[in-house]
Amino acid sequence: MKNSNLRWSFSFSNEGAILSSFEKILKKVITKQNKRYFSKQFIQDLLTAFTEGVANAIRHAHELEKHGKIECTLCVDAQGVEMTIEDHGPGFNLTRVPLPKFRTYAESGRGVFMMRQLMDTVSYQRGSKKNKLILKRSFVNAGSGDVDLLYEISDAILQSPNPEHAYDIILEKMVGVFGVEKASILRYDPELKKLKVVASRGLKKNVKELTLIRPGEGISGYVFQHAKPCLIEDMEKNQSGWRKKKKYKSRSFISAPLVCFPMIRQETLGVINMTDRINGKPFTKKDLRLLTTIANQATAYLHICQFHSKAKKAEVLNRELEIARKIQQSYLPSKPPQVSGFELAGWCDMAQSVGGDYYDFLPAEDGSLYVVVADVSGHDVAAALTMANLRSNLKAHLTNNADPGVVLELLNKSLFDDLVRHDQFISIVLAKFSQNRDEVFIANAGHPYPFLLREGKSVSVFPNLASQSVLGTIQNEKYKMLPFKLSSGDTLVFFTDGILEMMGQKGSRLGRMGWTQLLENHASKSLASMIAALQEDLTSFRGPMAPHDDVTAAFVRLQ
Amino acid sequence: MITAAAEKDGVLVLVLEGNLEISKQSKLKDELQKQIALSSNMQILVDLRKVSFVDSACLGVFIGLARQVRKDGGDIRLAGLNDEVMAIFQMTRLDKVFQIFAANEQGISSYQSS
Repeated sequence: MKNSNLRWSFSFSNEGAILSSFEKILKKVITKQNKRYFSKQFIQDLLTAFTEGVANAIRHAHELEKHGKIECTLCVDAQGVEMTIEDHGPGFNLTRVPLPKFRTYAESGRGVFMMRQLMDTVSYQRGSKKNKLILKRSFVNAGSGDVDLLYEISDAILQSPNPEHAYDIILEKMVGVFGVEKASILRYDPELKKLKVVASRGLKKNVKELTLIRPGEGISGYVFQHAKPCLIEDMEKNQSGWRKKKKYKSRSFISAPLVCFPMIRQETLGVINMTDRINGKPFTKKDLRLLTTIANQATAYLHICQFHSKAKKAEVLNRELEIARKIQQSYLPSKPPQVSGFELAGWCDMAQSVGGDYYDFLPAEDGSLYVVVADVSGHDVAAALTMANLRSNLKAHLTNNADPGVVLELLNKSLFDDLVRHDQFISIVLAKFSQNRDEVFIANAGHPYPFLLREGKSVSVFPNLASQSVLGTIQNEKYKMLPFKLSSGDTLVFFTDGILEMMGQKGSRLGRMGWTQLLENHASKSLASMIAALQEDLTSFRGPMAPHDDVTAAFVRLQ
Repeated sequence: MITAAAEKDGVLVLVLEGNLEISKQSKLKDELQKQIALSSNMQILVDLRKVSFVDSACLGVFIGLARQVRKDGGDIRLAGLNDEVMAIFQMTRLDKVFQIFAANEQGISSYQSS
């Protein structure tokens, strides 16, 4: 691999330029290859530590007053970032800087603590002429791990049917490798905005269930927020400010973020913690490196598994929706039946894969013809299921010579409870064309009345008549059957309100006027070519806008 | 730095903007003290929504002011910290010293209930 070290020297002579000059240099060292490590928080951590280091040189070494400028370097390699800040003062003993007094009103004394928290190492080299403050922070996935262990873990995860088990599998292996009594994996729950225990060893049940940690809070919250692994060799003597908890036996603790790199930027999914080593020895930097590497690799597998299972679920869902669509399409007439004395045609466009519209031509044995157009509320799978239920109920009630009004009454009674329970309703028009082809009997539950096309003109068959209530609202509704005289050449156009309500690309509805106009434009055509022309007209009326309702129309022409 | 100062429901709301680092330390201290003296209101809410960076020097300013107004029975509370600024307050345990709210409204009403 090519050595990709980038080292930049820079300086500034007034304290107002600290952030701007650092940000300028940072832009130069962030490359295509390393930019995924530079999360918003990572950059902020570097900025904060750098500012604190410079502030120290200004306040304690009076570097700007005495030297006139502050000289710095920034170096980025494959492992991480190193920053140095020079001063020409008397220097100080970094190891003697005490922890800040938390929860007091001390106005200063936090700078070195902040640097230590945000960097992996903070060191200070005193020289005869100048001193150097060196700040180092590694990228999270630096170092190479135990390859065999990684294979074992990935294999185990891939064989597990449930992605939730993956956390247990990872933890089990880690507990074995590190020889600890207590360990836990916490995952960030985006809804709660807290970290939750998803796998643990040696934790009491109530601790496991009740633990909810805000990002930034305590060791786990800190490791998560900054995506920065944390090693505390000795809880009694450490610079982190965290104190030993009674529940831990030993004094050594390691914690690593679960980080993966799904796209451009790193993403932290959670945290893994370990303490109470069986052999009683403290954790070392080597342990922390191993834990970090394994945690990251395991997280990558975990991420892929979750992604895979999501994609699989979506695929199954899509396949099932496609099956539902095919079944529903099969409930609609694929081509209209041949009935003597009539020319028949119709179409139904669902706004989504499935919908709640229905139309059918049902010839009776006595030579009469029933035509139905209905609209179940909603355009989803629930609407499609109710549409199927309506269809089979209708077929059961359509006995010879049945009165359309009576059929609607029976349908309303048999579907009523289901409709109410599922908060649905159905608008439906049912027409019966007489054996003699000179009259039609129409019953209407909340649906637009059909239009009559006669001698090139289109009018509603009952322009001044209101429909009766939709199915599913009044249990004992009696539906009237209204007769209408027909003559040869007449066309009756049944449709759902999806046509009248259709929004045009100019922002207006098609409406009754628009629909009437379209029908009259094509009145002289055969039904098949009329439908083709209407579909084309409606498509150009709507323009690129997605349909928001199902659209259905059925045509009956007397020969 | 202070882009707006207004009294709302008896609370002095001070809106800060920009990067709060060492070069701004004394100016920040002066401006905050001036506003507090002007209104003589000791119930203060600092809106940090437009602040993207705070260093230890400016944290010190907030602490000094808190000590000062608390002595007189008032308080300084904070609202609207972005994730990165919140991380600084958490790391230095100052989230235990200051009452911190997601939005101004909550910060203002916290004075009514106390």
